[in-house]
Amino acid sequence: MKALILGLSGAIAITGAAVGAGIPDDGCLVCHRLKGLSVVTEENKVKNCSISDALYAHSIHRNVGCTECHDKIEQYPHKPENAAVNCANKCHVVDPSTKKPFSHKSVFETWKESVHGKNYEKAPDIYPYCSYCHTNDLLINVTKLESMKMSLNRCSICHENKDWTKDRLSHVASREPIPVIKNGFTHKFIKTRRDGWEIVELCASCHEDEKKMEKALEIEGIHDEFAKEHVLTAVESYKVTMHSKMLYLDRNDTRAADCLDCHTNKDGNFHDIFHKEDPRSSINEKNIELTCGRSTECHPLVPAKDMKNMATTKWVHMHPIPDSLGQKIVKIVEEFMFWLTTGTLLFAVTIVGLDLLKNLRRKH
Amino acid sequence: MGLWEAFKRRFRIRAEQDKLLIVDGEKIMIQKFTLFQRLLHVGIFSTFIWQIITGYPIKFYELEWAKPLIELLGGISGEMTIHRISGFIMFSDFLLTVVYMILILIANWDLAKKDFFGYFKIVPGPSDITFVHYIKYLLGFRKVPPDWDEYIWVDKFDFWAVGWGMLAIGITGWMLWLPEVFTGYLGLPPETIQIAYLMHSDEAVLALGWIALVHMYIVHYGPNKFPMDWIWLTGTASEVEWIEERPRSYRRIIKAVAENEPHLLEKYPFLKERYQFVLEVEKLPEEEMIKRMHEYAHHLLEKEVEGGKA
Repeated sequence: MKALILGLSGAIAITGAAVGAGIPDDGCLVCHRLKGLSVVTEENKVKNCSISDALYAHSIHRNVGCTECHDKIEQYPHKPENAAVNCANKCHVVDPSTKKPFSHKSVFETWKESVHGKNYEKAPDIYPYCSYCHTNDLLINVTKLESMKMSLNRCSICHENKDWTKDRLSHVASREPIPVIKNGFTHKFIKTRRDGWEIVELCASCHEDEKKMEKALEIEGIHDEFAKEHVLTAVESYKVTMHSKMLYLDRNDTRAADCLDCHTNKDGNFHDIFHKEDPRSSINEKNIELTCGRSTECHPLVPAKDMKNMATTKWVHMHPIPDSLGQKIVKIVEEFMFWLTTGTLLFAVTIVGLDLLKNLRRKH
Repeated sequence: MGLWEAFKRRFRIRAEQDKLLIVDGEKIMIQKFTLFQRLLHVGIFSTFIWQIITGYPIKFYELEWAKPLIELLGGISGEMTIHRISGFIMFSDFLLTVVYMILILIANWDLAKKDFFGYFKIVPGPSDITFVHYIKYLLGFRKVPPDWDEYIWVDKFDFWAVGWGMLAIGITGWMLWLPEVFTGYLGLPPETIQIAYLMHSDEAVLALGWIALVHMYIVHYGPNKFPMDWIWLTGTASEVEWIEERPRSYRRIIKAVAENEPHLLEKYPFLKERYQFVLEVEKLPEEEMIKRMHEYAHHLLEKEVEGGKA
């Protein structure tokens, strides 16, 4: 990549400003805090490399130094190809639960074995790395939310260091997608800051990209016509289901299943996405019932009563792909209903049109 | 009176002469629907409207109006509650109609054995050759409309299509509501829910398309009925309408009155006149007969208008 600094507009670099803001930035912000700092990529696209120190100081990773994750950067100015982030690194932050240096390593290892990670090295432009889905989210300012302020006051009764308490509460509260407040209490800590439909959109950003998916199929060595169709129509056939429509039409209602609800295991770490045939997969035949009943808002009777037929129904991906007798029958029904509807409505239009003409002529 | 007799009386098919009503001693009306039949219709169409309002935003979720409509209905939760309650009432209405039909069949079994299609006129039968005549008429191969009986082709289609619709949309609705019951407790194969979803969704388009295009044209926005055919509310049609739209039924009713209640002909001279007219036109070839009946209807209408002016 030919690195080219396009603009140095904005303020003159102020050495030590980052230190003043309390960010352990290893000096990176000397350049990166400049507004308009950009490079032109090999694809001739302008990439913004500017970082707002103010925003960074209020982000989830505010206490982590740049080179703790961007660990290949050893010189200044650094080579663009060394800018990649290593999410499996241990950082200087001590995990309060284990008293050990904090790391995303266990999640990283799961990702590495998953469908998204196992071929990442072969095609990093196709498969999503951690940073594709995870952004460095801003923390919620708990002192600006009335209900959170109440919680903070309660916490502070025992935890005397108010700054520490505020920091911890902000960290936990930031899992809330949008701080919805009902009856004075924030409610529903969910699996991710994104709501269900945002997760669908995130997954669809790759899975709807036919070219990308075809390349992935090539890498994985999947050549079976039906298996390919399953992959290529995954988003399209999910979007016509009730699960998808519920999430899309009512963003406040998070009961319906998004992609992660079915493709990750109950009590797993939300990165354990494996191929259906893999026994570790949430949609593997031996786990699918548990996945359908993963919460009381899903279908809890399915695992409780061993409802295999209910768990293996294809209504989570609606389009019939005729790879089995059952799906062939569904395909026939689908065709039949289409022609029945089309034929009947054409007949209706014709007969009403003719009758209307006849009536008008008769009256005339 | 025994229980069987009481039951038979309650569900006996009305005699033809009983369909004729004389209003104010001078006006003839034909009663097509009983109160119970009208209530069944109100039950079906009012729930149908709710099903459309609550179901179509799901079907066409990507269109602009879908989200605001869902919000108006109280979110997905509100929408689903209304859809299910309304669907339950609609399905109950359908079941009531099925029970009603079975009871009518039992109470009139002797008549059914004698002349099934003659007494059960709503059932498609030999008289539906009139539909071929209708197509010929629309295409210009026939000069006058068919000699329609009490239920024309669209009446029968609408009635039986609701039956099909309730199987295609009603039972599948239950399956989508309670998938655990059907695939779990009843052990139906996994494809059942997928088929139910496809059928429920397509049948909704089919049902609304047919109702909006054909049914509403026939009873609301067609040039002969605009703004509305009030028969769904009153159960009765005017004599002029009946002669024009269902001439065969009209002739049969008038003849039945003359044969079974001759004293009415003496009491009401205009009834005698109708009877003589019917006997006269029945001697004519079919198309000529229909033409004369239409002319007679116009004559009656003119008389009514003149009477109104006077």
